[in-house]
Amino acid sequence: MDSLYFKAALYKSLLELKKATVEDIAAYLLAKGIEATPQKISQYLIKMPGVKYKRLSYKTIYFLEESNA
Amino acid sequence: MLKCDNCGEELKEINNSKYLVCIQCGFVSNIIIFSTANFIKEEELKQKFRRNNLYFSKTFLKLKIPLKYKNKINNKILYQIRDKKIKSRKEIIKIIRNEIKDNSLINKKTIKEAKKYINIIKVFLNYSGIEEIFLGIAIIFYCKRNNVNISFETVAKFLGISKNNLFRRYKEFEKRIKLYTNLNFKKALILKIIGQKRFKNLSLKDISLIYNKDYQRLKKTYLRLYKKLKSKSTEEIIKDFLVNYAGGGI
Repeated sequence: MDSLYFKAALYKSLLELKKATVEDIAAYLLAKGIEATPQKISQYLIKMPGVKYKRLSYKTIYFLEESNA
Repeated sequence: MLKCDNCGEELKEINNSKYLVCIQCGFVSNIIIFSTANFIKEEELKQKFRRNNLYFSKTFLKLKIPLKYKNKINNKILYQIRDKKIKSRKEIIKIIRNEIKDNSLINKKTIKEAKKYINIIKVFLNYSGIEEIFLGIAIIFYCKRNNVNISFETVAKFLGISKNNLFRRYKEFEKRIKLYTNLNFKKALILKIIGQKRFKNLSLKDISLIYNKDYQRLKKTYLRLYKKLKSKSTEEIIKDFLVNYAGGGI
């Protein structure tokens, strides 16, 4: 799949879900028909501008900068 | 005697080649002779192969048998064809197929069980490929689930397909199905209710096979979920039920 298209899909999913773990985003994308592993999603999310994350002991939560989580 | 299509003269075989050539005009005919060198090496029948019967060779010359079957012809099959005086191509192919199945390295039971998985494999490989590859992948997938040792080579030999191709396609399939097997089976059922591109083509029996669940129980949970989600829109279903922990419990 095209990486630009994939990034757009990630942004859109974060906009919809607001706060989410990688597994949540993977399930969301699967429902939309885009197949991606949680590992691949996390690789993209870390590098993307405007996306922040909090590391808890048991999971990592991703959110957009504007949402101020 | 075989005659040339061009001038009607006698056709002859050139040394060490499979082709027939006309003596008069040099026309090379389309008919190809089977080389007998491979048959002599057979261990079961060590006697030298002699073509005393002219009828025997002629029938072979006239028939166009596809390559994948041609490679599997041995002495046993040739004698069977001669004894039964078979002329048609279909019957010869039938004999070759039976002969391959007789030498099977895989139980009939495993093949029967593996055939249940074929629809799943077709869906996850986007219906591209031949039936034999689908069966091969199904056999390997079934055996790995039930801890039966089996190699790609034996399956490829049994079905008459290339080992590398089978391996490549199996990895492709495995990579795709892993995305779904990591999910909870209830999430898979929700995907079916939404009408996701893969799960809309799978039946409930297929889903029960993927997640190793009892079919009747799975059906009950499906109906329960369906009643719950009936009145809601797909966006709502995705947010509230499929993505459980989104924005909550932090």
